[in-house]
Amino acid sequence: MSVDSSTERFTGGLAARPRRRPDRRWLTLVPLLAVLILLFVVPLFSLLIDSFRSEQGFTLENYREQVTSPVFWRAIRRTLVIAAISTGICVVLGYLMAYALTRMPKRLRGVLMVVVLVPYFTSILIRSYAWIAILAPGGLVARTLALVGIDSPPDLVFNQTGVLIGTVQILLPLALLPIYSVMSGIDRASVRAAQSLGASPAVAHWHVYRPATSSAVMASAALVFISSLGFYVTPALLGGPGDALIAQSILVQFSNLVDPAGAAAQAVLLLLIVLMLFVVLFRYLAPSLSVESTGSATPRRGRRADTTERRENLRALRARILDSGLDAVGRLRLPILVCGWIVGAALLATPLVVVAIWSFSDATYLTFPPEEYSTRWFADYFTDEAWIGSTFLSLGIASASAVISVVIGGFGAFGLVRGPKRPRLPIAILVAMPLIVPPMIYSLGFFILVAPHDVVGTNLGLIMPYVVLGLPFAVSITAAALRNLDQRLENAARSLGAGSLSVLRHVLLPALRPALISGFVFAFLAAFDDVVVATFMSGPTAVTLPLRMFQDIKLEVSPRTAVVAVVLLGAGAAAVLLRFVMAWLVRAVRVALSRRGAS
Amino acid sequence: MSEVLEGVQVVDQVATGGEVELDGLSKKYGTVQAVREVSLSIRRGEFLAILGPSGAGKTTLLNMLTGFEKPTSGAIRIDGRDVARLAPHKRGIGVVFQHYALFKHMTVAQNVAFPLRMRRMSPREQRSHIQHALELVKLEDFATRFPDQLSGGQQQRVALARAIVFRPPLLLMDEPLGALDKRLREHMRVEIKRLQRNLGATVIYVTHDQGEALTMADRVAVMNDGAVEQLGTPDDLYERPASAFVADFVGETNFFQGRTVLDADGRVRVVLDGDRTGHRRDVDNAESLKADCGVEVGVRPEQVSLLPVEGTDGPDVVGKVCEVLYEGATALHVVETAIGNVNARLSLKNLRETRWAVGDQVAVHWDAHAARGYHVADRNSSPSS
Ligand SMILES: Nc1ncnc2c1ncn2[C@@H]1O[C@H](COP(=O)(O)OP(=O)(O)OP(=O)(O)O)[C@@H](O)[C@H]1O
Ligand SMILES: [Mg+2]
Repeated sequence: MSVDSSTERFTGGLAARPRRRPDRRWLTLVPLLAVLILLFVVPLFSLLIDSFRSEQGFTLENYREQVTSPVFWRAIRRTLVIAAISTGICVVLGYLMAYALTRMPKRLRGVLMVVVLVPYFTSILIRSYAWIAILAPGGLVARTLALVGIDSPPDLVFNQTGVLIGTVQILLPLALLPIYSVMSGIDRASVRAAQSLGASPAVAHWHVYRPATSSAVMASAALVFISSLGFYVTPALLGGPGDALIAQSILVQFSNLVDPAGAAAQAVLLLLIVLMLFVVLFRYLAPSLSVESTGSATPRRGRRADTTERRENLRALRARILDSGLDAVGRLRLPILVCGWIVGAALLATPLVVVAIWSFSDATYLTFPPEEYSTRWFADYFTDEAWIGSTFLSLGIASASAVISVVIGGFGAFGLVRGPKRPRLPIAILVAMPLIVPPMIYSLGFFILVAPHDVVGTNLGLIMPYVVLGLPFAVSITAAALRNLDQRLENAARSLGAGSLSVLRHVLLPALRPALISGFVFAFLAAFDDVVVATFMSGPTAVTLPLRMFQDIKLEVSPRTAVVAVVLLGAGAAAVLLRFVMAWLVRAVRVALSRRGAS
Repeated sequence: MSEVLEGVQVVDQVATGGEVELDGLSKKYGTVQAVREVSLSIRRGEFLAILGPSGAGKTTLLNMLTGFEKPTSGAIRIDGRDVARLAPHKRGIGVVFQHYALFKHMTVAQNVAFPLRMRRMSPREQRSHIQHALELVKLEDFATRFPDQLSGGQQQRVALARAIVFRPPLLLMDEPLGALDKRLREHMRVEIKRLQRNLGATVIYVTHDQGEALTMADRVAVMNDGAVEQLGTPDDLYERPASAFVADFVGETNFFQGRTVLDADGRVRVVLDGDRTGHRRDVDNAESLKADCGVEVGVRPEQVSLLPVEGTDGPDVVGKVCEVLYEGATALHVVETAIGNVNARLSLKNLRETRWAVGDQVAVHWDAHAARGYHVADRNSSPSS
């Protein structure tokens, strides 16, 4: 067997030189495209079809009903307003915080990066829930205000204020990280040049530094805005009864009003808005797709000189006013940056700290800080079969779907990077879509598609959509790593007679391991955090952990979810720690063995 | 001068260079002493080159002048005014940065207009200034291009135009030609020199290229390890290096180890290690040397001549030619002797009389005034280039 295969490989290698084998690398794209088309595109189409459906057949009635409904428009308007405000806050705060990060000493930067990254990897559900403990009556803010004698605190939660705060907290890292990565690559020499030419620090920043960041700022604004359009969990937990956003409105139409066609029409309308935005903002979003930069987001060039004297003078005057304004702001730049970080860090870190403390509360209702401490809620969780069952169910389903995502996505990334050039951009766009399309739309479509079959309430019914949600992460991370990998390595291995499988095993897998692992982590979290898909696909026996937490919070605000959060965070920290310990052990063993070999 | 500025409304501010005084200037980064106790005074309109190996502290010194670094101690005075507390944008110094630091999103004209905009000049006035500055660097036809549409040399000239357009009395340049190829570098040397003469500005020019420093500067300050080792005119520096470091860094030098002795006539002379003649040799700077100390004697290769062994007696060391490197106008001969290898650079004119081949026995000769002694302790670190 081994002799056979090696001779075959040998002759295969020889034969490859004179006769060029047809390039079949595109074949690796097949599973990816099949999954995306069958499990993503087809559900959206079935949603589209359903939105035109009535008992009599084709109709526009569903749309007419929605478009003429003031409730629907109010939801749309609320969604857009919340999205716009939170995008504005996130981008401004993210810009200030990212800039401060690039200017501070390394050690402080490391600490503050943790403040950004830990919330980034923490579930949206848990972060939203924590705000209840902070903002609700009996929570942190109200109790603190009571201490200074303010007994009727403003209503901060179960209304749009709460939704806004929660949304900003969740999207802030998403806004900050891309801006930071661009900023940390900017050479400060041109800012210094501007200063030496007479520009005060703020003026130099505005005219020289800011233009270099503008496309990153636009990209993160686009990403934040589009993401917030589909938010469901945060507004559902932090909003009031009359504050439904569009994603909630779709679900209400579907399950409370039992009007699937109307829900489908709403979903299609939201999808249209999202896709239109995607097209309009494409030139900013393109660089983050899994293809080589298309050069469409080069910084805008300064305008050609306008020659009429009057206009020129006017412009000079305007510039002068702007510059004096900037000078004034520039004098306050240190306080502004410090305030930005205080607000940002408070937003990012407080929920996690609160959750950690609250999990040790003795109370059955919301009081924060807790009056009595105990571990009864931990005991409660660990002895409750339903909760433990959900935990293992979620772990299993998220792991399974993440593994499938990584395998399919890994091959797909190879086809995307090494395969034919022409279809790269369309495929990359398709791969990104599960991230762009709000999960509520996708889940509804998927449910409509599979409802007639016996998959709702089964593990398979959950795993299929989760594979789709994990694919954008698996593909983009692996593709980025592949692009940095020298293709000559593979060619060299091939010229030495290695077959495709050996190239995969001995060259690609070892080099891509870190990317595959982080792809797995992101895909896992996408599935493990999900509430929306589970709302449709969970059955009475298969309730995922996030869904159980979500329902529990809706029922009563108790420390139980805080306990789960602490357990999960602890498990995550332990996993990270274990990885380090394992790596250290492996190294120690290796050193010991090599010592013995040497002596 | 007024010819050059004809038709330009700035004749009233014909730039006269600023006067710069550095007084005991030091900069410490933690434990690293980047600049130590530098005191210099630079005259109006002078072209001063700062020459030193990588890490000598040249950029740090410039950054203190421009205000991007605060001195740990010491004072900087420009035209008598202490600028230590002045923000960079208020110093009015023209700076050409090492990698030009052009504004990529602005055209050439907009780049050059930037300092004028910052000075609130009216657009009409700006135009004539920009035009003039671009003419000076011969880039009139490139005004609407963006920096990435220009060659390296053109970018360099844009940086230059941007730095001079507002007529700064003081112009600082940090290795402005470092990124250019050799021919362009030599061309730009002439251009920069011409510009400086026309503008009358004081220029401080940082380089680690000794050729640049020697050809362009009125005076050169050689820096090593944060301190100025020698300040002098180019010929001073070349002919009378103050330390072994300067002798080695500026041009080439043969070094021979030896000891000083006090001769009966009260003059200090040097006995070279390994010299079998035991001759007590004169050096040019004997009066500055202490007796009975370890010294290095430095002799430039072009000051060494090779003579036939027959008929020589006295001080000349005898050795064997072990390498001949043809260099065009000259040929470098490496001679193996008891005092070490000696490099002799002979001009073709000399070689017409006697050509030496590898293996020939020769006597190595130099005149006493061509040799200089340096106390061994003076040499605190060897140059890296
Ligand atoms: N920000 C800093 N922090 C710590 N050390 C620094 C810093 N900047 C410079 N140094 C140190 O100060 C010394 C002088 O650096 P400087 O950049 O002035 O050298 P240079 O003469 O300009 O060299 P080059 O020719 O390579 O540009 C070096 O040893 C350098 O490592
Ligand atoms: Mg330098």
